[in-house]
Amino acid sequence: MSRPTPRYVQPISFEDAHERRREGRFIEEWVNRIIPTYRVGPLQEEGLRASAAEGGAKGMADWRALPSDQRTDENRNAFVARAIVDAAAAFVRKLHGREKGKRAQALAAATFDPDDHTSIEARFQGFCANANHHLYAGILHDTLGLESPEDLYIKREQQQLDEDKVEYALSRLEDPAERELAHLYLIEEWSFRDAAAAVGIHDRSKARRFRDRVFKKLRQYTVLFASSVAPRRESPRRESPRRESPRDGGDPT
Amino acid sequence: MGDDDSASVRIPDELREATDEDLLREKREREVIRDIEERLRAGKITVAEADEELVALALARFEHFSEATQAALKARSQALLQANPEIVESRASIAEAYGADSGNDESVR
Repeated sequence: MSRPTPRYVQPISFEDAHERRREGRFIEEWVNRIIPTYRVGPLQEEGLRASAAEGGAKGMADWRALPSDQRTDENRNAFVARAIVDAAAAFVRKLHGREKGKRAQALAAATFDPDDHTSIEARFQGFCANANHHLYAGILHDTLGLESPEDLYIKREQQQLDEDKVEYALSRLEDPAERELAHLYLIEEWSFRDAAAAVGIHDRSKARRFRDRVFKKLRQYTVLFASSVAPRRESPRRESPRRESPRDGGDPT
Repeated sequence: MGDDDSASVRIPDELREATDEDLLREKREREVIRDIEERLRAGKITVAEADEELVALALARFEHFSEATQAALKARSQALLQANPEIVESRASIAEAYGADSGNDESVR
């Protein structure tokens, strides 16, 4: 009795099989190199390793999808390493209940928007979000006693993100006076009165209106930054090849 | 055939509501918030005082952290209540909505 050949029984090219095995070893080398920097507990290590390997395989598939002139060794290193780092970071975030969206929420709550807190219930939610932000978004970087390796990792990651966030939000302010006020008041920590005077505003109510306008823009840019950065870290889209790997760019082989 | 969903067990809503810690906490929080609103409307507390109670309620969500962490969070939150201009200024609109006193120290501003 004849039976149809199952779809998965296809001829296998000897060269292809050999290549896949080499790719597997290449990914494994990168995983071995990157994983120790995350230092999760022994119970989580296997999960972390599996996620990282899966990320590495995706990175390799992305590299293979490049035009032939861009499929260089340098790009292969960069794609695989970046994908492993992304997958490992996502795994650690998940461990802490900080999956996609929570970061955006925390950043959005970084400043208290009075327009959104017009009831006691909403005000309470605002305070919760603020406390959450204080805890996780790096404002208390050195004083909260978060000491486990995973927490240290989150703090380090968030410090970098905070810097990016502030830099981005300030850079989007087009009016030089707005940028000056934001810089003096928020970064240099001048008093509000002095910062307003430095940009030539001496009237108190005018200065407050000006500040509210600046804050509103900063909030919008902060949220914009958060929402643009979170999904990109979850599923990186690479339109152009990266030149360097995230760690040291070396070939592990 | 269809998806195998035999592993999923549906928990009755009543049981879930009675045992889910998050739901119980939210229920407790709603009660406290309602109480704060009532006292605010009755003029027994100011918006500034309500803010302090709301912050204390919010910080209760972080009770499982170390004492040092909680103390740091509390200090930050207290500073926020007094110094954040948006929180202080928005008390006026809350006071208007609830017919209460804002509790802001206008002489300081």
